[in-house]
Amino acid sequence: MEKKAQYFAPSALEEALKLLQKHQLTVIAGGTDLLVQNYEKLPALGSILDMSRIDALKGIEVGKEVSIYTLTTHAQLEAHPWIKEKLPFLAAAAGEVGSPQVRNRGTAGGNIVNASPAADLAPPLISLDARVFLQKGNEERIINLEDFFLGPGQSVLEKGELLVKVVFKPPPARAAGCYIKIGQRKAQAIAITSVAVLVEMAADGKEIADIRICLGSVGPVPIRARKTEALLQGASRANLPLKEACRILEAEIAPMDDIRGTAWYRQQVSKTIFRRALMQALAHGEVR
Amino acid sequence: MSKVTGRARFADDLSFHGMLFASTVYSQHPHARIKKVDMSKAMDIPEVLAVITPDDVPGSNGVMRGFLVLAGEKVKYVGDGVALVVAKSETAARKGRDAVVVDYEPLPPVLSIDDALKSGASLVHEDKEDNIISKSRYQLKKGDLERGFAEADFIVERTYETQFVAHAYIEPEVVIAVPDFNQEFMTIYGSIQNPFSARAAVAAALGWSVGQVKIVQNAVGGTFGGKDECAILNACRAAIASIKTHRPVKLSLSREESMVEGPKRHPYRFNFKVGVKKDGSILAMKSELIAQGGAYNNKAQFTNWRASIHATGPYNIPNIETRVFGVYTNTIYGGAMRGFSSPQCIFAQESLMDEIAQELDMDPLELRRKNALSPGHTLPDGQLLGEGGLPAPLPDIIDNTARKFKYSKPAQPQEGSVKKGIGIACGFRGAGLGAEAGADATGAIVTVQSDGSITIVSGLTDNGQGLKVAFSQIVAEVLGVSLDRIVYPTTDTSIIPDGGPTVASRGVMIGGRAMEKAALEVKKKILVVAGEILQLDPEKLTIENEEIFSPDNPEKRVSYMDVVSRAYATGQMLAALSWFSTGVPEFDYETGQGKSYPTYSWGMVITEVEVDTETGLVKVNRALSTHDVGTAINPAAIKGQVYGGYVMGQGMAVLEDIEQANGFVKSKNFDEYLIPTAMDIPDIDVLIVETGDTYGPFGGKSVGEPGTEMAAASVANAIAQATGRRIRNLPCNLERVFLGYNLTRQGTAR
Ligand SMILES: Cc1cc2nc3c(=O)[nH]c(=O)nc-3n(C[C@H](O)[C@H](O)[C@H](O)COP(=O)(O)OP(=O)(O)OC[C@H]3O[C@@H](n4cnc5c(N)ncnc54)[C@H](O)[C@@H]3O)c2cc1C
Repeated sequence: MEKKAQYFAPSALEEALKLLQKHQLTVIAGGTDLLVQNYEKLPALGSILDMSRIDALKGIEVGKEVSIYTLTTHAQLEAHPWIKEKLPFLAAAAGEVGSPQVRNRGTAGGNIVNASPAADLAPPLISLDARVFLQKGNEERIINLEDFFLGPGQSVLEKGELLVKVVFKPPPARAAGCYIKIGQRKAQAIAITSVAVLVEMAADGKEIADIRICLGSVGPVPIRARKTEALLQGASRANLPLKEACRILEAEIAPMDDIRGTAWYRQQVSKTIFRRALMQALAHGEVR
Repeated sequence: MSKVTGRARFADDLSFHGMLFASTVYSQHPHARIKKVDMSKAMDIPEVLAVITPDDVPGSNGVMRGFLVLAGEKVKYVGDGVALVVAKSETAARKGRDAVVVDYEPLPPVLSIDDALKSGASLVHEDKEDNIISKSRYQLKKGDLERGFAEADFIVERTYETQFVAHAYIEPEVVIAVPDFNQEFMTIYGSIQNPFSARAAVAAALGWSVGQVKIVQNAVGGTFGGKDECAILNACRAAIASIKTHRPVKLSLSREESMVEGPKRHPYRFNFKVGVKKDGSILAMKSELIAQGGAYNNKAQFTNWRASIHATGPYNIPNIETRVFGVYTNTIYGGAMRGFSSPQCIFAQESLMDEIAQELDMDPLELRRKNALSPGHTLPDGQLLGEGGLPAPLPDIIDNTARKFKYSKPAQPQEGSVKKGIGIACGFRGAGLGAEAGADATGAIVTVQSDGSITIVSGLTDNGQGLKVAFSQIVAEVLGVSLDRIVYPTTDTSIIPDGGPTVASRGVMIGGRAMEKAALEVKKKILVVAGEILQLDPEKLTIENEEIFSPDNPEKRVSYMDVVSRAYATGQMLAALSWFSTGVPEFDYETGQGKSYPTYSWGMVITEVEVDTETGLVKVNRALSTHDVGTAINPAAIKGQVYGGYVMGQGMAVLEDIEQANGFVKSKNFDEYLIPTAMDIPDIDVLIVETGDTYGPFGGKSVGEPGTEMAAASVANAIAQATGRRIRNLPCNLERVFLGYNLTRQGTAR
């Protein structure tokens, strides 16, 4: 027989970390992944750690670095004035998640820890070179978000370890990003393929000084297209090697067939949305 | 209204003292022999009280033309129930279900129409000679097909296919069987579309007479034709469990169970051969339709008959030969779903019209206008249109719809990767059951109570489509009383004679006629009593605003309430049970000629889409849906039906498809079976056309199904026009639109 499940809802982060050391607990943030995945077997979740009262895990801080605390909801991210102004593509990605209900409950941290290759926040955050702060007891680790994911539903997060925040440097003024997601319908659609492109133009505005590209849903984890980036690094805006870039990109991704689409479709359309995202990012860059 | 405020109580909200919960053990194979059912582990669970197998069925295990309450010898699809676990809690019932061990010997499954027709195919039903559904064959013959082809300038041949589509009702099936402890009597509460069909099946399964079973329909959270075979089988299971345990038993399906076990829209394959003249006139059309019935069949004989009449569309084609049949497969099965084969037929037929127009380099609108059935023409069944016949508004509908939509063919070719397309679909729909199953008949009871309130009972059910309101309006109108007086209790099979199922948009047409008749009889009785009071000839009296008077002498009047009081005081009955029947229609089933339906509804839909040709994304921008409704009894309700109907068709066109792999259902819930969301819905405009058809009550005709049947075709045509590529099998999902064909089905390009 199962033991009686317990429900903890501490308000201090330290207490939560202690509880995690002491008990085997399932962490719940918005529950939009957890409860859906387990809705016919909720007792199997066992004892619960509800983080919703931990204020230290909420909010967005903007300074030399930007910190998005784990409990920040998609709706908050989407509406945050600084994010909206400086990183509209990240706000847009948050706005692509599910529906208003899901965006009001679902959190940035949950989106990451759930480790779906289709998670909408992963590509833009990886393109921002984000790092995640993980804490277990008194020990803190900082990992590149790109290295956080191991496979569908799998990450480097250890038992009893919490994701505290995602942190990245605000990109320079000459940078602009774009996120494009392809889903089967306009809302409540999991990405069939998605891409985030962040470009930073050189001071003369003619060359790409830096570029980061990350795709979702085209492999077991979000995929950073490093070879494509390398090709485009230093490329001139007037003479972009787009065809070659698409060819390389195609080889960098490893999509699969699933109920939402075939590998072949993903392969083809990923190139299209990459090209569109790049052009849009360049166009945004120009505006500034 | 109670559904909007949350006050409505659904079957799952009900609870009875001592109620038990049941859970069905479903098949693990699409086709397999059952070697052994070991229930010992389930019975070891303390809260489990019984495990029921076919041996426990007291009456007939076979119900509804071959469906099995529980499969005993072999399973024919993954939704077959093998055993039923009854327990004190839902959790224990599910645990018990998982603990039942069934030993199977897998058999080669028949998964497609082609599989079913292959020589040497394994038999889905071993007691049958082949996989063809008996009684599912129909044909319609008009004119001389060969001559028509000979006179044609060219011949077009095309094949189209449609998919399994789910009703996607928000409430899965729920039934509760409550035994009567004083006599052999069983009451079933449930979300059941057709209480009388349910009563017959439950009585048969129990081995009782139908009078010993009463079905009480609760608020229904959507059905669209679907809360039928699956809901009824579950009612049978719950009833048997209830007999065995002497307790009320609830069976509440999860979404996944409902998706796997329940009926779907039949997939059809259409093979067309058409002979056309250079000027666009269609001389001859041969069509062969094959329906994929799935593991069991209760409806293909009806959907197919309807298809046989409608397959060639609302066009004046002098020479027609239509053949239709259905096949069994080891898959989920087809049942009734809003439209009842017409959305499939119209998709195929209207795609074909566009392809003919393309061959002729003619505007698709003009081709339809040229061939539209018009006064003086005869319907495919031979009935005359126009003067002395049935209304034929299609030519006007085409003109008016095009004008209102500001139709013009978008210029080709278009710049850029996002392309616009406009698609047209026309349709006609035989109203009611027609000659589908003999006479179309149903009853109504109208009772004036002593306090002046009026109880109305229909043999048909309000499944959310607004019958309550329509019937109440009809009675209030006839009796000249306020709508507030009308009380419409939930349908109860023990009160009124079996009036058939609420299907085929017959609610208002047939049920409304019965209601109108009953109200007229009651009116007569009211006038007789009023005549006594006023000392006037009842024949000369009328009722208006609850006052009865003679128009000749309007000063002398008496109120409705005074009449009611007097009737009760003097022992006069102000009630009537009336029956309306179309009579058995004259119809030749060999040739499909005769009075197929008493009248038809006509319509047209135009849709504008934007297609991103580099991703396959389709955005439906706007649509205009035109419907001949006879007389619009409730315009707001008509629009509501059309909005919802359009979106169902839109889903069928671009999204919806029950994914199956080797007979197993992959899309079991709404995260994988996608329907349009509020964000996907276009601007939908409705144009109501009144033809003064005299058939229904106050001339009303059906709109429940016309509202959905043309939408998918118009969307598909719009997509084809935008991309220049015709997708001949639905849905036009991302990949098909992007590629022009599909990659996912069985991994092969089609
Ligand atoms: C209808 C619907 C639509 C959706 N649409 C989308 C979509 O379009 N795009 C998309 O990307 N996602 C979508 N999702 C998925 C989901 O909403 C998001 O991934 C959301 O961000 C998850 O956050 P949550 O707070 O609800 O996570 P939860 O469900 O609470 O948690 C998810 C997992 O992360 C763990 N966890 C959460 N926070 C922490 C933490 N701080 N430390 C350690 N472990 C933690 C939990 O234990 C659990 O295993 C959808 C979900 C639903 C139900």
